[in-house]
Amino acid sequence: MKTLHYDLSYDQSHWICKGDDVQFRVADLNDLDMELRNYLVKKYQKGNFKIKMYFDFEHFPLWLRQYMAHYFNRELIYQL
Amino acid sequence: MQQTNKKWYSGMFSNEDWWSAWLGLFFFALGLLSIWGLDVVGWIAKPKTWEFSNLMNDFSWSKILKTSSKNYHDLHPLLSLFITYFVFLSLTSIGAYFQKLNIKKYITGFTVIFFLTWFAWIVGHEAHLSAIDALVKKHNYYKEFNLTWGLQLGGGASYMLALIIGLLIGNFFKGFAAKIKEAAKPEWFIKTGIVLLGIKLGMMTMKAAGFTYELTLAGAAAAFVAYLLFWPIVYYIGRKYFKLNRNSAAVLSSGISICGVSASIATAGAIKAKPVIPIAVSTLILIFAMFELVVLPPVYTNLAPNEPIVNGAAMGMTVKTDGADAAAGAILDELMISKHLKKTGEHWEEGWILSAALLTKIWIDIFIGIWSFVLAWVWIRNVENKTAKEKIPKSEIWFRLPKFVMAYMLVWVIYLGLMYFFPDVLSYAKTGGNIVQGSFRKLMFMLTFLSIGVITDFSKLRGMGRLAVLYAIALFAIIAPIAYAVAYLFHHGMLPPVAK
Repeated sequence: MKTLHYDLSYDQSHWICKGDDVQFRVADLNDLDMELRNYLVKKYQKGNFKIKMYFDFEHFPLWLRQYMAHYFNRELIYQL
Repeated sequence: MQQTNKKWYSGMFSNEDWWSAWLGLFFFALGLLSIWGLDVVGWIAKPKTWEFSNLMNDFSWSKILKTSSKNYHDLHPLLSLFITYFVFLSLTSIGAYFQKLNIKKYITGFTVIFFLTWFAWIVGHEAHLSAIDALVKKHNYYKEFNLTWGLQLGGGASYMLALIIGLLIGNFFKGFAAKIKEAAKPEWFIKTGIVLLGIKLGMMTMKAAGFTYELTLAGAAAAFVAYLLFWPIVYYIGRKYFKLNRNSAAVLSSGISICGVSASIATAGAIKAKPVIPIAVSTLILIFAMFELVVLPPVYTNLAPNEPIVNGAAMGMTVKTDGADAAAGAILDELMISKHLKKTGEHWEEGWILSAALLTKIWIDIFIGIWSFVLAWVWIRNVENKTAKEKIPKSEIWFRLPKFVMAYMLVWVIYLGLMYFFPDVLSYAKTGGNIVQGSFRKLMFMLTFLSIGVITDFSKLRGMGRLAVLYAIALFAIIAPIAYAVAYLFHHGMLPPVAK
């Protein structure tokens, strides 16, 4: 299984996902998962992929970061 | 600068939670050096009880300030204050640097906050505000200063004064507040103070081991029961009567019923809500926490003056955010001790009521990671992902586990270790430990009071609409009464030991 790493952030209206030389900007995380699948199919055709996604907490307001320093990380498995 | 948590050690030197652990453990280690006869903490300044006309007739700094240890009694009190300033500024600035704060702004802000805090601390020790007409540690300052009137608030006067100054700045001098905000870090300060309170818990265990264990276990049980009751009730009301969507209802439920801002962020992260939801909910929580902090300590003190530990535990479950809870617990501790002292002449030992408030909160903090993990699992099972199989990394529990709580427990365990394995060095350890858990810890608490006021802006409540209404109803009609009932169930009849 190939593991790919992505960074995730949010810009007031859209999720932004960067990594593996590509960037996605979507309103919904389900759309992101779909676009990611399409991208993997296009680039690798087939195979098993583990996607590790790390939310960048820098996008939270500074005053809020003292209360909690983690939002979420995701792990997705694609079997193409 | 990116802030992602990729490895288990991510954030170890860049977030305030870790830094409260480092700073607290560093102070704790300094205190422990007294085992080898080294007093490297006694220079810290502490305020004395003073009286206005007495001071004006013959002004002397030594009437209002002193060093914390007799080993430093030759040190001029003002020099002791400046050394305290320099040490705290230097150490917190190192933390601020690694947390990527603007150092220039931090130093300016910290200097202002530090000296305003000391102003409040000293003024709060004026006898008309603080002295209680009873014998405390061989002194009755009320009689010694021949007072004809007095508020008899004990140490609570300083806390309230610091809070009022902070709130005035945060709400009426917003430009000034913006200039010093970089250093207004109530969560960092209070978490460091809580780590130092681990020493107090250690000392409490030495004095009354059974009672301390009972308090700890009752705190865990009460927190667990509260979780199971609060969350579903608030979620149901939010969905059914306030028509909130699933994500907003879940984030708000955690914020109101668990542990405020950190729980709302953790829950929002677990269910992958858009960050705007926890940001809005957090604003609401911080403002309501201020109401809770101001209203609940005097209410509990007057409604149930004979249930100090119940009141403390109820506070821990009701007041959101660690900073506001510890601050409310500290005020409650002072108010209840003063009231009981005035009424009976019996002096309850300080710190037990505060510890009751903190122990329930600390268990709640520990459960956040696990609760968020459970919620994430429930959400994933209920929201079908058609394109990929989603797993929840177990490291999520670790990243959400509060590190200052680990440091607090570590300090406690070290004291337990000393008690069981090296009982002959305990009295030496207590010499330094008492100063660190006393003067150092109280300074961190005082800084918290002022800072929490500075960052609270009540005008942000405007436009919160039904979220604010739901919050108010849930807090005062559901959370506060249930929390009190649960606290009563687990802590009824427990009383702090009498100070000798």
